[in-house]
Amino acid sequence: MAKAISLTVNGKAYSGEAEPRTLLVHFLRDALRLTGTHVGCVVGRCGACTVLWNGIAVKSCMIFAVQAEGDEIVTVEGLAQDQRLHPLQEAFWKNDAVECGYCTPGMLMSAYGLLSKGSKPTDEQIKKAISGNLCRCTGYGNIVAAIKEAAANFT
Amino acid sequence: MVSILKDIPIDGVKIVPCRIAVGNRGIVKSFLVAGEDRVILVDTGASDADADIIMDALRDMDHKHSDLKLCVLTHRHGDHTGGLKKLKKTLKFEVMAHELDMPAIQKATGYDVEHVVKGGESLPDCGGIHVIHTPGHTAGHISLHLPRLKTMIAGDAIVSAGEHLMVSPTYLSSDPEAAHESVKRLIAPESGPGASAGRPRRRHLFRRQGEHGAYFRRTASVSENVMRRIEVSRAIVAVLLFSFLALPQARGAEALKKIRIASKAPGESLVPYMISQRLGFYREEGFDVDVIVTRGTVTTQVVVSGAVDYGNGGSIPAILGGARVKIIQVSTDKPSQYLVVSPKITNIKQLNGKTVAISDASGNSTLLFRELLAKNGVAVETVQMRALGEPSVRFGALLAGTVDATMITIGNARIAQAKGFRILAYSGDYVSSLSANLETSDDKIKSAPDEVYRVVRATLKGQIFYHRNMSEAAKFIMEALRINDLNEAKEIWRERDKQASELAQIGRASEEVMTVNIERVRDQMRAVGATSRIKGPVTLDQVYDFSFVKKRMTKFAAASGTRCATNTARKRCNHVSGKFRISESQGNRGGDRVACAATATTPKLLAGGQSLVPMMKLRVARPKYLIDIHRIADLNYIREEAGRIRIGAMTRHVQIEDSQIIGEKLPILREAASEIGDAQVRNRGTIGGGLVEADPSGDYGAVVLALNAEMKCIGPGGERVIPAADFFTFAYTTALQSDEILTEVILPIPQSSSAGVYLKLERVAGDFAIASAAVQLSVDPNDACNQIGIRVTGAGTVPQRPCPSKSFCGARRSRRN
Amino acid sequence: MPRAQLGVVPEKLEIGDGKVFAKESKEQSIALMEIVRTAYGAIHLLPENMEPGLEVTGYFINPNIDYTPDDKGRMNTFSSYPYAAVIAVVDVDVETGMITIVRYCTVHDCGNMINPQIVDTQQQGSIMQGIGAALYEELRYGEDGQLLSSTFMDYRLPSVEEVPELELEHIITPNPFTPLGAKGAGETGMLGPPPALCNAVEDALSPLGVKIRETPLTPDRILDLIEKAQAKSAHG
Repeated sequence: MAKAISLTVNGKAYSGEAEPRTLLVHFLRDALRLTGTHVGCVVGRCGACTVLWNGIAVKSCMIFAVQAEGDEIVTVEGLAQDQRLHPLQEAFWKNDAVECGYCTPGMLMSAYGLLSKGSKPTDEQIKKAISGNLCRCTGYGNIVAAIKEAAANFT
Repeated sequence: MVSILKDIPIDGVKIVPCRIAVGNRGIVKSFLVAGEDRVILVDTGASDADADIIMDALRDMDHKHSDLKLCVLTHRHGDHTGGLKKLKKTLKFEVMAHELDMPAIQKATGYDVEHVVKGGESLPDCGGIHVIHTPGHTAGHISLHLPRLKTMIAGDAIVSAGEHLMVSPTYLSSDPEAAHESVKRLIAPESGPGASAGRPRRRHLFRRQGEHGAYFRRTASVSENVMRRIEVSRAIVAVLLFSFLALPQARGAEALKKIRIASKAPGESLVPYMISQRLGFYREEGFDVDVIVTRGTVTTQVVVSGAVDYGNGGSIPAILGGARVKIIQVSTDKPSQYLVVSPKITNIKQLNGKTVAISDASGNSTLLFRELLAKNGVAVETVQMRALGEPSVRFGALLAGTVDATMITIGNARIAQAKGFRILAYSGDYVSSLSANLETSDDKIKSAPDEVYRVVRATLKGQIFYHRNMSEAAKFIMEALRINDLNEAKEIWRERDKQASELAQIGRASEEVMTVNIERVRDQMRAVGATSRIKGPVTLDQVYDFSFVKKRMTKFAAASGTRCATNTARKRCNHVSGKFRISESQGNRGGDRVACAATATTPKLLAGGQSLVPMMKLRVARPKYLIDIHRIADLNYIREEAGRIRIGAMTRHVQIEDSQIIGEKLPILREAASEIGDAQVRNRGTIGGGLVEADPSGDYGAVVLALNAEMKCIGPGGERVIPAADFFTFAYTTALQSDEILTEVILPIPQSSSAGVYLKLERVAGDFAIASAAVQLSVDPNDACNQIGIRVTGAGTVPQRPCPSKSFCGARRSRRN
Repeated sequence: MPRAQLGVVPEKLEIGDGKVFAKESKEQSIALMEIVRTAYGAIHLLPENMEPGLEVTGYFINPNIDYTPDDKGRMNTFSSYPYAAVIAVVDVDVETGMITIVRYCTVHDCGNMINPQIVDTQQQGSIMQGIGAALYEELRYGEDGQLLSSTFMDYRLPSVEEVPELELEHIITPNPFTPLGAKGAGETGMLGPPPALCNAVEDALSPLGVKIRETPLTPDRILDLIEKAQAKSAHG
């Protein structure tokens, strides 16, 4: 039985219907049409579904939409502001850190979660933050370089 | 439906389908408008052949060719001007066009435009034909509005595609932005007599092209003889649109009931209503709410009189005096004032013998102040109270030093603080003060309880939204208070959020608080000699009726066999059931635990979900009911107490990883936590969940065994502590009963000469361990091992002891260079 | 369409300067804008039987591709063969079977690098695919043919933590048979790790007499091989 829930996504209030069994990733994609968040696996391993939930990077395929009632979610659509790319996105672009793009939203959100903690992360810390995001195409090197570069410009 | 669906004749206007493609489906239209003494042609098709068609059509109208006196060209495109040449050769008439398209028309056709218009002109025929400049498709595009015929000849400003109306497509318009603007101006205003006749209503139109293409909203149906259909393949058409004045305003069967709520002040108390109205919560329930701002005391009166349906006045004196209303929902239960004192006062007890500015002898703030003193063991008589009236006067007195203390709101309190005064206490930490959010008449409760329930439901939803969405609420606050500073709005939000305990946030108050507040009002009335107005003893339920709020927040699963026993405890949990969501919330801080007693179908607790949800997705686990406990704040803690570290079961792995205490005292646990899964998993997964899941390869198992931890759990039978050694019984199985919840992990802090290490062997990062080992070893002052805990995983269904610990005791540390 | 409009055969037409004009008399011209507009918008003005839209399909056949088998049945179905050389240095922990890639050096040739940054990324990505195949990824089946490693929990893709230090160099031998002198760049990386790593591991374990014949080189396989080799040598 569907139930109405409301939450804030990327700063905007949304209301929608969700059955208790609906996962947050599907709610975001199907009910809210925010399809930037991707579904890559069934088991919570690939990280393509990563979003920020009250500021914390989580895999939205392991959360039921109704659990997020009243909370703040940030998805990859919330990164660019005023038609300008976020420093993270710029850095990904410049460092050629995107190939097929499937893992990219998850990578960006994990990176965002890391960088919003404040200090400039070391390579080790960056790798730890994205160790839950699988990429098949790029071999990760450029992604780590991009995140490092973005850390310098992160606000 | 807006069926631009059927060809319907319009009195006085003949629609001439012109042929510009193979086949006889006209896709551009010209129009012959029959005035009193002349015929006006609008557009001429694309070719000589179309000119012929137009001339035939003229005759079909029983008009002579000579009756055609004027040709209006909507714009310069060839499919509208193409027939002009032949018509001009055969007939005698004048041409009208907009000045901006005129040069191109003259060039293309070789004929002059005798009547150059700018837009705004009117022709006298047919009761008035108004020329509207609608640039965009071309710079000099015009449309014609014939109000008496309820007709708009849009030209190419609006085109149709199948059953859709849309703004002229971007690839065919010289200025798509302008085209969009023009159509906006063509749309009927929502009200006003006559103005809309013939103009399309906004709701009949579309989104701007480029936003998912153009689409078209269908509206309530209209009587047949006002609609028309244009058949289109791909090209542009001239569209006729008709008036919808005859349309009822309401959409179909959705009639919203009008509800009036009186509010006693403008300002942020209005915001939850705004939220409920704007976000459609009232609408969901079938209501259209008007909030009317009234004066404080009047609010209750208008509710009593029935002039409004609900109010937020909550005048207890009125109720005590016999007004037949009930307060059905509250919003805050703490006052807003702060006790601000001169800098030499550092403790409330020091107010003994000091001077305090109050408003008047029996004002609300004074009573609160007296309660605050009483709660802090200060005898009221020893404090000199000076009644100075208005807050501004009291504030001034404080700043001037003529009094030592006063109670004021946060804004002034901060100003005082900046000047060196001290904010000694927040009154809400000591005393309560209930503010009503909704009251309604006894009659209404009796005659329309369903409506009351739904209004409460929607208002409460707005109230809860307010508390859970600071950024959104702040924007509403800015609007309500007309301030521009988002930070200021957020401050206001924080204050208001502070003033509402968890219970108040969900709309009600505890008995104690209700009683205290009624008593306070009675004291006040007594003090001003108004006791005679109190009619007899008053019970709580003569003032408050929280049944609606309770009903809203408590829904039970009508499930077969699942029983949720909430005996002594109060906690907040969300039941997410297979059928529907239950949220039972009787939260008062105080945090006892609920024992959920399950009978036939055992619900599963959802903590972090990082193991359970994937198992559910693979259909390995199929619980019928899930109880989501992730919002239980008081199960999330890391504390050091008497040589032990106590970790709440809902503490997340990342918190354990980042904890300073654990890093200092139990680094082995930090190491284990940091190896679990990946960053996202650690952000959500909990130690309680990990332990209870008891995966044979789980990371905590070996550590808690090596450390001789204890697990505290609670069930209907009470609390008990299970030593780690007895906790893991088999793969994925622990000693917990099905009706028990793990609440805490208790870890003894190793003595100072102790160290521990957790090593995990995994194939790839984030994997489960192939094997892992936890070792915690302590040495005595002679460097001989006097205690050791070793466990390995991956060697059996539960973490194993690889060898007897005794074999290490006494072993000395070897010295290696 | 310009032929219809200008009455000039296509062979005698040129495109330039924003218009199509007759070679012989430049004033006979139509603006490209007009052509586009007509082709897409005012299709009623197109000549009979002419399809709307401006679209053309062309083909290029590479000169050195030949599908005719020679007397030994061989064909040349590719125009170019990018190649690489790989050296891998590994550490094998004989107690746990875990392999650490200490160095991975590769020099490859993909002809003219049109976009060097993309070439590098392609290399990094395909090398990781090869490493995954060599060390981590396996499709395992049960006795009944049931696929056992059907999710990412069991089919282990390398994460960022598995990426070794890569030393990547390029040499450029332009391909004479393609217009840009380029060859493919995305696949060479993948071919290197399995043979390089297997040979490296075999080399590392050669004192133990281990021969590698199967990938992926998971810890349990390594331990098995070591055990078997030791057992074998124990029996002479």
